[in-house]
Amino acid sequence: MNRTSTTNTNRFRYNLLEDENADIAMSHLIFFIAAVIIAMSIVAIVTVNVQNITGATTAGSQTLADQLRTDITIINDPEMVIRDEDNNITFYIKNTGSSEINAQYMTIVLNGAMVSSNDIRPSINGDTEHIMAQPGDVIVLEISDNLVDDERLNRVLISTENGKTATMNFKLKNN
Amino acid sequence: MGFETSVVIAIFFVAALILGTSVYSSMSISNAVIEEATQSNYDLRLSKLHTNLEITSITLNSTDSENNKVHMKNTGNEPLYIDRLTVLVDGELVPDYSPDNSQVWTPREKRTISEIPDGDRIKIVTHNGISAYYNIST
Repeated sequence: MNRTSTTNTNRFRYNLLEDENADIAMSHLIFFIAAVIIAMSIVAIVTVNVQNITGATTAGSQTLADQLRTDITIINDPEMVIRDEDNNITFYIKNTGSSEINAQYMTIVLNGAMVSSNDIRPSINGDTEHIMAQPGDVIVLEISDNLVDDERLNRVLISTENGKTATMNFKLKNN
Repeated sequence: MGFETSVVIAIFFVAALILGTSVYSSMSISNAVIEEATQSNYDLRLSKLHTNLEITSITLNSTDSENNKVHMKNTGNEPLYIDRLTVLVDGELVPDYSPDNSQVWTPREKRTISEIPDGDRIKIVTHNGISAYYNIST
């Protein structure tokens, strides 16, 4: 009895090792799993990249839309931009677009040099706290700067936070 | 074609379908946002092109130098809003002025604003940034 059982076990082992069909099935299984893993990895990588591009496009379109809606006009009289006795120059910027503008983040370039944000004091209707300019509002930007020459024609460029700009050539009027 | 090839192609196909749908909807929304903003930008430009005003005369008040009157005419094709004008006298912003009657100022209509202080040069700016100047001395 024992002798017969041992013979059967040996025959089974021999068959398993020698069966070429099992070899092929295992190879196919390994290739299948590898192919699925590689395909899923490629899909995951492509998905992440596409989502990044889509996200950037959405953000870019929002920025562009914001720029298209934003418009500012420097409404100072170019013949008479006022400089007071404390050397402060006042610029009036009208929100002529259809979106809100935060006056806190406006940039001024005066005769080619940027004015430090510490030297800019924005206000709307005398209010220096709530400085979100609605369409039609006039932003008053008072700057303390010595870059302006009394004698010659000066140039100012004012930019909103989203890069919309307005420029004006002007002469000073000392008060 | 092996079974694994078919499965891989199926995975790519389904992924492409899902990604394509997602990208299309996202791009479509972005495009709509830009189109809407572009239309708004065109409207602003068109409104500016149709806007014009003229300061026809100034009536100086001999007794009260802070209460002069400015007479204007809407020479454009766009209705203006008399209470949304910005007035500058000699380069200084006039914080308050008194418009005459109704708010809407239709084309070819003459309107007057009062309580304008004394000065040599007046600038009036409309809500969309179109301006008119007047030199009192000339």
